[in-house]
Amino acid sequence: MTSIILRTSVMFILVTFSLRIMGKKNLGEFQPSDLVSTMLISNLTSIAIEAPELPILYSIASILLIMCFEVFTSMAVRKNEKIAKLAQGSAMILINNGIINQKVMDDLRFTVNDVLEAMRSKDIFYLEEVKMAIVETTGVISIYPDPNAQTNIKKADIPPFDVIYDGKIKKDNLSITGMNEEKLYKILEKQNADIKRVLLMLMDGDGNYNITMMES
Amino acid sequence: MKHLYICVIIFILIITTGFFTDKMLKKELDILSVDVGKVAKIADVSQAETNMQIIKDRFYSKKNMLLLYVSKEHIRELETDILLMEEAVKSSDSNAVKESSIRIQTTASYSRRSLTAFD
Repeated sequence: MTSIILRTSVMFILVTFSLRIMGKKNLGEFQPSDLVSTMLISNLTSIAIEAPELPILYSIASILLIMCFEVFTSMAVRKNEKIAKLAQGSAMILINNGIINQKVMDDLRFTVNDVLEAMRSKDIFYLEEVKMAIVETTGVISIYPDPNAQTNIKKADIPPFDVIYDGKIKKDNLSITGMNEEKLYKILEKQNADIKRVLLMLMDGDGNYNITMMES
Repeated sequence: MKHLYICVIIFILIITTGFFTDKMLKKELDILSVDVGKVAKIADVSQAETNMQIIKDRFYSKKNMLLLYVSKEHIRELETDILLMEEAVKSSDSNAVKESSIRIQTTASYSRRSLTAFD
């Protein structure tokens, strides 16, 4: 038991020290290397506590090495833009002037739902309201609302819902907007849009809609 | 910048101590393997008691250091086999001496490999 107490105490002090050296940003937002370091450190800590057969120095040396690599990486990232791009990637524009960049979406393996959720979390419901949406290197989507669109758009009582997503009608959302499939097909016909090619169709309670076609 | 300097110092310390301790431990394990091999080759094992005592004393003097770097399981195996070998030497059982010697050499080889092997 004494061994466990000592091992746990040593590991607690060591991990606290390592996280302190690595910087406070680790607690809030994770870059890929931060995530890897934190995951490895937590695993090594549990090994040191749970496996008294192994010398504790194995874990201590590994944790300290990870801490060093983390600090070296962050220093290199600060000094060299190419290394920064390699280690952290770069911010990417996901929506530009209300148009979803599908290539970026595919590259980042984002779904339309991720985009819509990010918009809603910023109290934005219309795609036209988004001047620019940027995916940060941490994976967070930052949205810059279009100052003109926000005043020009006539907002309905019922906000827009995705009534067609990936070529399929979402009947629940369609009924919320007070629309039916017949009217929807008429709109699509009028717009000369094949439903199978529709990536996203947003529609609000007043029948205002926005169609995003799939890029071939 | 202070953190960077701390890390550089820690990094250099880990690398250099790792390098030197690995070298030292390998040397110790090699000596142990060679010594037990010599004992196993002595025709009249009853005459090897002094050699066995030297091996035992050397192992126990380095045991604490070995425990810091080598798996406790390996150390326990080495310790058991050294004691068994000592008993076999005392009872002049050459087969048991050879058997213990092989076991010690195998464990030492595994420990040696675990220090530097990448696999």
